[in-house]
Amino acid sequence: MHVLIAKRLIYIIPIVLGVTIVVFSILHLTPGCPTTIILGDHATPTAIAELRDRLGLDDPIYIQYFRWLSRIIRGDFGRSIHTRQRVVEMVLQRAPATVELTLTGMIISLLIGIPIGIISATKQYSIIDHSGMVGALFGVSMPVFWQGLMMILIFSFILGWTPISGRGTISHLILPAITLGTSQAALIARLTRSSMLEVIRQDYVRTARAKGLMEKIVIIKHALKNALMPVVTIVALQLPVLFGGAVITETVFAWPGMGRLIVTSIFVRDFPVVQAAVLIIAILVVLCNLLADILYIFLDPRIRYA
Amino acid sequence: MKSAVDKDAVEQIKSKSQLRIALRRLKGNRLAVFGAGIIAMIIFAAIFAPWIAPQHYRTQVLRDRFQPPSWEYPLGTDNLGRCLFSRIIFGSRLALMVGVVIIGIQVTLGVSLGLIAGFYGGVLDNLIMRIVDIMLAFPAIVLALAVAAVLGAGLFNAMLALGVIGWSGYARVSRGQVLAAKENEYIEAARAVGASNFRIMVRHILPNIVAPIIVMATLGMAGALLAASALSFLGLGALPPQPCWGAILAAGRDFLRRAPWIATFPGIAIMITVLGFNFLGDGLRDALDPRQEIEIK
Repeated sequence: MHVLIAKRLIYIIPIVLGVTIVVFSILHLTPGCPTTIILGDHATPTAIAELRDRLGLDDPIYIQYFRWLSRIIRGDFGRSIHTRQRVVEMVLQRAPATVELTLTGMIISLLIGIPIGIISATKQYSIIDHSGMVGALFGVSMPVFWQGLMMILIFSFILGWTPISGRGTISHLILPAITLGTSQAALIARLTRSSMLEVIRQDYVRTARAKGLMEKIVIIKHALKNALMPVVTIVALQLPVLFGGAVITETVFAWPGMGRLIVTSIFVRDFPVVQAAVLIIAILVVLCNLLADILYIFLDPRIRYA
Repeated sequence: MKSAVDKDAVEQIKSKSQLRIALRRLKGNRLAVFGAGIIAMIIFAAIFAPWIAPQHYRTQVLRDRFQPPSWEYPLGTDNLGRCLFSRIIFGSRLALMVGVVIIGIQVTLGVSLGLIAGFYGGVLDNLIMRIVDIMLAFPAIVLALAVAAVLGAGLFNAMLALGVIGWSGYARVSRGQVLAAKENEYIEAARAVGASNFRIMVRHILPNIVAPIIVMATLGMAGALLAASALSFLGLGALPPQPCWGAILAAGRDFLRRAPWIATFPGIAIMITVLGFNFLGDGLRDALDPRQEIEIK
């Protein structure tokens, strides 16, 4: 098992390196000069020369990459072009808000998705099953930003129950977290249902029933435990989607997280901040996937002893 | 007599062809038919937009600003007095075009790389699949935002960014399909008659792996529409006065309390279209799944 975990750890090194290459390339390999991209079309030659010198743009591209990589390994993402603040500070200030929103969204999606999936599977082809799955498709099809606005309209403007935007209390968190969690809940419900359907047809579930166990115990103790294993993987694999959703949700609810930082930085052409935030989100995703793999090794004895 | 027997045999084979079986199953799936109906409706609206829409999408009637839905303006008007119904009808053209272009880029890139990886294997396969792993580490919308920001705001750049980023899923699925398909005897037969690698990939393997790609692309249309609308909503997609649903919705955000219909109806249009593709994609997946046949039997 330790060998397996060690292998997974080694495996993520090239992935993380690849991620850094992609993030570096965004600014340096796309058409147009990085100085124009950062400073805009009307920059003075002095400003351009100064920036070229500061970014070392006259060096070969691989030298620029390795210099940038060695800096970010030391945690130095440079300074914001817009605020002159250290980028790493800006991102770290915003990270807890994004983690808070994403985790709450994930918990909400699990709390909604798993029960719907179980009920749909145990009552297959019933009205509950059909409405659950059609509802799930509606959930997947709703644009996050529209759902967010509709929730603001109903719960903030019409009912006056929650604040429109900002961060601080539970009431600030509830609408963005539900908005973020809904589409994931729909996905988890669909996956739990199909996974449960597969498991409840297995021999050991039939044996459990034949022993005379109560249906509730058969489902929760015997079927659910195994049915949830693919859900664990998909939850980790859906993290990129959730982070992506967070960018939009944070913008709709003016939630002061990394997503909003990316969007606001894009509009002031603050690319060091954009690069740092995208890189940190991607590395977080890689680490979450690693965690899911390790969790899977613990959960599934077949992998552990293979 | 002989020809009658042959005719029967041909009819029998025809009636059991995979496509017919899949179509029969698809027709039996009410949600899929409903989804196909929605898509047909959107395509109809896109083609006949100038005849369906009461006004041109750019026409401004300033005295009719912020009009709620009425007989004159079925979905109300926006802050510039433009008919929302007309804008949404014209917007269906952009929605379909955006979806088709994004999926076109993704499928072309992903399937080509998946074919190469699965067919040649070895170092090439390893390299392509590691690139896939790297691309999958990025939230598509976050990377698309960054790329679109560098390329500059605009619908074309948004489509390009989303197309170039989302190919990894197609590569992974087509590679898996190629690995299974290339072990078949007809590939060996093609090799025996001297077919080139390119010909084997394009003429013999590709047609046999197309079913899961069609399913993925149909469901992908839904995702592409959502992502493109999100980019427009954030201000990096369509530019005014283009009637992109995401952009209309974003404009309505500032008037949510005063004129909630501006943000409400484009969102419903996006949801219905995405729902149509999801229903159809789900139905296609079930219809093309051989396990369904076993269950029916």
